[in-house]
Amino acid sequence: MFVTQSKSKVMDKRFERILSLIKNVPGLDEHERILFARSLAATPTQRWQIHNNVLRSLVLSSPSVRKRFAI
Amino acid sequence: MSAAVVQGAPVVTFDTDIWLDLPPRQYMRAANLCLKLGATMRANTVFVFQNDLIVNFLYAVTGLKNFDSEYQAVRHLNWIGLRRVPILRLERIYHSKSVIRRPKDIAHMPLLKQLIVCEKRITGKKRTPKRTATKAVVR
Repeated sequence: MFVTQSKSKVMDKRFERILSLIKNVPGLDEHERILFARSLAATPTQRWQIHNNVLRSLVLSSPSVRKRFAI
Repeated sequence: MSAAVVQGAPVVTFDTDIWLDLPPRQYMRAANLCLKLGATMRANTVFVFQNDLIVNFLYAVTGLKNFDSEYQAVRHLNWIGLRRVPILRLERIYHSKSVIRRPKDIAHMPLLKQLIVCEKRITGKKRTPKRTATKAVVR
């Protein structure tokens, strides 16, 4: 995912704000809070890009895997 | 789950479900459009595009009201270069999954519930549904 420095700074600020807002959500440990805050701080397009990157990093979007899952 | 991903769910999904408000006689319209755009047909409703995007068309969603009723409460987001894409709200996705209750739906439910709570903390307000008309919603 390509994020310019200014966009990254905006996202970091949003991340900090969201992290503080969800710090008391029950059932979330520290790691999960960071994960949720990171995800919620991103724009929908950034979230989709992150999702695709994760999918590719797990090699789940390769043709052979798709064939195995019959999709 | 693509709709949940776009709304911030930290999960991975293979395909994007698109709910179409079409009568059975017009189901082929969506298929023909995908084929025209270069997609490969994997099943009657499943199409794979060249950029690995897998699209699954739905014509009804278990556990939800009819298309028009649900559309009144959708969320509009800018996504993959498209403006104001109507997307089912997390609460409605959660409700649908709580009715379907396949193993994968049950696995997703706690995460969706936590995300809904987080989102409420962030927005800090109750949502008001908007009224408009369209033919497709991302689920």
